[in-house]
Amino acid sequence: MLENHFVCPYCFEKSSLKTIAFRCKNNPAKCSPVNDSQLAAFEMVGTKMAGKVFLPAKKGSARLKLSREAACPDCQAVSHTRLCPSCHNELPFTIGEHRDYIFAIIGAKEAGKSHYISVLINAIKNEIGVDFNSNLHPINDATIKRFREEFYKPIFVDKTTIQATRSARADIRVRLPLIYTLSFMGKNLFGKKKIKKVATVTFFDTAGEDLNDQDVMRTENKYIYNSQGIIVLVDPLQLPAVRDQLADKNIELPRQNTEIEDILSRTASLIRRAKGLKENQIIDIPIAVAFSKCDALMPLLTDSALQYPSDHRGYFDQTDFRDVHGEIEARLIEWSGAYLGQQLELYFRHYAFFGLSALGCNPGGSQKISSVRPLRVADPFLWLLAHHGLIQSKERKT
Amino acid sequence: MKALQFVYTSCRQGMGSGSGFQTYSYSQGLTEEERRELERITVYIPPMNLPPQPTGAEIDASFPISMGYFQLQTGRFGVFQSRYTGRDFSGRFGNYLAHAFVLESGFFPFNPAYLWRSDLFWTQLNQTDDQSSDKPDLLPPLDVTQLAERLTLDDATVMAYIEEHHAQRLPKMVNAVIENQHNQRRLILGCEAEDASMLCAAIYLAFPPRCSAHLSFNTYTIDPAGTNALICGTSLDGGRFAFTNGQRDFEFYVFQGPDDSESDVAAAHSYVQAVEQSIELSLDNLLDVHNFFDTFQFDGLDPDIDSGYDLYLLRAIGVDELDEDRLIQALSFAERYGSSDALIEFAESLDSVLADLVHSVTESGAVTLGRFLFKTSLATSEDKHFQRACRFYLDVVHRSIFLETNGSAVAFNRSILETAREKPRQFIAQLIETTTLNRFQRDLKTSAQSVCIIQIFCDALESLGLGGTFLEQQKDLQTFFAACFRKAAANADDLLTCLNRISVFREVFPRLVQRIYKHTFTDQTSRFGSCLAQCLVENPGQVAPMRHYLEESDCLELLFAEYEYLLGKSSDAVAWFFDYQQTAFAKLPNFREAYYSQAATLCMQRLKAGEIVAWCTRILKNHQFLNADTLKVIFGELEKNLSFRSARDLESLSLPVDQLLKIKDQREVVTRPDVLSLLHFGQRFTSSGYRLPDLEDDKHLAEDLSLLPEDQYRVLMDWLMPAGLQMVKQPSDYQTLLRFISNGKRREVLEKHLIGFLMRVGKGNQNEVGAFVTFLEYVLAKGRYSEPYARFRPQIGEALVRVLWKLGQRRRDALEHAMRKNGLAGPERRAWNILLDEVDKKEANSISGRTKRFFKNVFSKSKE
Repeated sequence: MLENHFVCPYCFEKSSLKTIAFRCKNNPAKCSPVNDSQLAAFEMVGTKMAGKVFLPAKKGSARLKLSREAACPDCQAVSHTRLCPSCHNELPFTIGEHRDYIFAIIGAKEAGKSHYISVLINAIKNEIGVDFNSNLHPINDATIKRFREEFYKPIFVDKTTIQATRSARADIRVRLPLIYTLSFMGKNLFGKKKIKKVATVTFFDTAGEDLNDQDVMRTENKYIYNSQGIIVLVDPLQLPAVRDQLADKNIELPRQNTEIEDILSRTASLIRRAKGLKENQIIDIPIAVAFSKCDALMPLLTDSALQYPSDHRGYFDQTDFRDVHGEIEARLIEWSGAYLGQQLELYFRHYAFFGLSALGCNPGGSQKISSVRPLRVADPFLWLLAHHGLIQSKERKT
Repeated sequence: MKALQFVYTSCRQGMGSGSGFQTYSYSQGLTEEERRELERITVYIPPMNLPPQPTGAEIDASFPISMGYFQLQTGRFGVFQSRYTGRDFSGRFGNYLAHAFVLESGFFPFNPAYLWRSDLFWTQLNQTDDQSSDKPDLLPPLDVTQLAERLTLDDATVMAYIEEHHAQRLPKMVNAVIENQHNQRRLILGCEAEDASMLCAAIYLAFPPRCSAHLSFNTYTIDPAGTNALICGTSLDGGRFAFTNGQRDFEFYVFQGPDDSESDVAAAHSYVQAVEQSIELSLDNLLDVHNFFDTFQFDGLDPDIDSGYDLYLLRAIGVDELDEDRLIQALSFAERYGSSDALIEFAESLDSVLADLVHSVTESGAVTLGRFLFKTSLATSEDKHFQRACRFYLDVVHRSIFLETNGSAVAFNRSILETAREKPRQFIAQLIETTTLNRFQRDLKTSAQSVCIIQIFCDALESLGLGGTFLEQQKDLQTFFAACFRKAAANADDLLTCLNRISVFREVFPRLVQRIYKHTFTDQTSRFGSCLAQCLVENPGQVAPMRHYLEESDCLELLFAEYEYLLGKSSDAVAWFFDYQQTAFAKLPNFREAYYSQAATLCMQRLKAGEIVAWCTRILKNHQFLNADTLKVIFGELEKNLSFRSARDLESLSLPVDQLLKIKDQREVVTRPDVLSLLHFGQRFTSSGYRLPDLEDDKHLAEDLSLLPEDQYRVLMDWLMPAGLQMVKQPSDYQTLLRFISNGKRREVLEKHLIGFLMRVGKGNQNEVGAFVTFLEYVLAKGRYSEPYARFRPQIGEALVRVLWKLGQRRRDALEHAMRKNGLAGPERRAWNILLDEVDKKEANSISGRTKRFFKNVFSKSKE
């Protein structure tokens, strides 16, 4: 057990591990469901019928331990379903056992956030898993179902773009996290397989329009200031200089949208306010600013490291990272001036620039994807893992 | 009435600060909170099994329309339609457009489900609006009549559809809606939105309009579990609702689930009959029921609706057809929600069954019926309604009294009074009418419910705001109360309860008690007094006025009974007596004169041994209030318990001994032995100024000493003798002292004190040696002082021999020397020599003497 407290990934209330409640999962015929007013309040519905909620009966030294199971006081059935005492949502089964990492993926409307999440999770499962001898495992059915229906199916099965994400104010489901355990395998002294490290990784998607207003951000995007890493996707095709340079390259450009600087400053203000930081205090949350849709920029990126996929084999390649970081920073200054870089310097202690393409192609007006060829999607995520010490970070061997 | 508009979609420019999903426009009057709530209510997510990038034709053909009716948190009612529109302004799929109408106030004057597919609802933004970068104008509110003109469905169409497709299902669904009130199971319809819209319309139609207004429905939602609507349609294949057995059987009422599975609805509400009949016979039946409901203020969707329907039946088919429970429930419904005209109509319809109901109705039913009748009577000036209500009320009360269900009669009475107190004078007039009181008198003869009757009357007087003044004027009522008390007196608890109950009439309570007492209780003073005392303990504020009133009204025996009761209850009789002395006896002179001596005697009987002396001396301060007999008893007890141990004990008395003697003389109290006089003598005797010859002056001393019990005598001598011996200066003084102590048990006293004193001689005190010599001289001169000594000679002789022997030879020689020095001669000298011979003999016969002799013989023989 790492700490005595945890932050619920649903309501973001900090609670003691000792206060974790359980939900009876017995057959409803044997233990009737009741109206769970706390869960109903979280889901903003009048009533929510669910299994009874109870606290484990603890005696003696058991009071000091984190309960993994408890018997329903009414039907005596043993339940392993642990709930947040505040919102009564089911907590990940790893709660209190491993460190939790919440990663927020934000960006303006049409920056490609949902696409990025979809491709990133797929990449972590299939590519990073091999390179880092790790495994990404969804923690509950809700995560499996939601990822499959809303993220994986459109891109990898239907070969279409993901539909516009609804505002979390209208659809509460958007607020729900995708929770995974990330396990790193290794060998012990005798050469036998063992799990060396486990982390709970939570991703949050958001609708771009929910970042247009600070009040909405404060109520609907609490995960931002509770996160251990932020990935900001910047659509370079929204930068006027880029649009001008690409105008004659026969590339279909999206409509112009929210200014990225506005989102950054709103995010910084939100974190400062929520964490009670003064204006002269720098935010500790690492932030990765990534140019999405880099495939469309290729005509402008001759001799660039971004032309090639990254090669982080078992460690985070600092050499490659520095190359990309420097190049994007320079491009950014070239295309939109120094303001964005200065903002990051001013607000955040740790930041880095990346370039990536989730789909590797421009779906254009048809919204169809010919083939998914992700480029450097894992870089920001690996940088965050390296920052938190979950993976090694070193210079490339020459 | 105006309907405010609200449109939400993903657009380039709406009311938000950027592009994307947002409120496109709305009518002024919708608050920020309401708009946020509307965003949630109208959200549209297409079924997951439909094409992700549909064409316009596919959208029209396959994508369900979500049309809903709702009530906002602010209480406003509204209706909306949400439709999938495909691409948004930017070309991305996933857009939808929601259009809602929210009433400024009140209900829809039509079935909102009839707006299904109405062309009033926007289906998408036009091209210009969609692409415009300008903020759209606010939408104008529409008049509700404009909405009513664009309805697409009507009652007949809906009922025809239901008859054809859902004739069995609709009654079940109506049942489920009513059940939802207590089990919170919402209705899920796993059918096409088209079908769902018809079912929603039919359910809305099934209930009276005022009730239907509180329904909420949504013809299609992807996640019914995550929405608020009471009735939700969803897609069987493309929705997020899992249709598990648990959901079907416990969490929701599922209709048209996979494989046509449906939830069982166990309840069978009588209102559903109205719906069934409307399907089987004619919609007119249902509309008639609705018209009937319109005359009531009922707007719930709960089981009360059954009672309303029973009331409808009551009017239509008469009371005989309904069982009693349902009848009572129906009346309860009428009482709660009915207008006065409706109430009167129903009250009159009950006339034929009221007499029978009195005997069969349950307790709660009686309350409901009684309240109903009174409430009805209050709504009209016609007296007959009030008379009917009172008649029923009194009949039920008498029945309860007869059945001896005490609590129920009182509870019934109280419930009725809540309603009846609107007409206090009329009600009380009925209650205290001579015939009514006579009837209660008869009840008293046949049952033991006097407490119940008193409570009923007191509750009535209190509740109607008729206090003691009213009660005081009602002589008949007082006489009736007295009769009730008489009955209650058979049981002390009942009597106390009655007294407590009437004590609330503070201003007349003492007079009432006095009258009740005079009328009925002179032969049961102690019980009444004790109950009254208990009552006063519980109502301390009444104590002082009650005592004064009882004194004035010559009911002193009640006061004394109270004293007697409380003394019996008290564990500390002394404290209680003096407490009472300071209050009742001090403030009520007549009472003191009559009962003080008696109270003291009673108290004295309860005193513990250690308390008697202190209590007697304390009460004797008020001896003037005590009669001679009591005084004699008190002095007798006092003297019996007085101690002669020391002067210090006497000082602790609250009255000095001389004062006590003075009181005794003054009140001519004679006691034998006169212990107080002996004590007084002892005080003088042990004081420094007393001389032995003064003993001759006390005339009664000898007699008192002789009468003194042995234990007291011994204690007295213990106290006096040391002082007496100190006073002996010459042998003749022993004559006086011995004469004084020769009364009573002086032998033992002599032994204990004289010899004991002599035994201490020789321990070095010169005075004591002198006293011993004086005593020896007195003893040896027995000729001169023969008279008292003669009685003690054997003891004194033996004792002297023993003392002298124990002194040893050397000290005997010193004594001899002292005797000679005093000029011992003649017969005294001879007697002294005899005494010494006796000592020698004793010495020789003692073990030490024999031992000496033995060894002497042994030595002499050994020499030889």
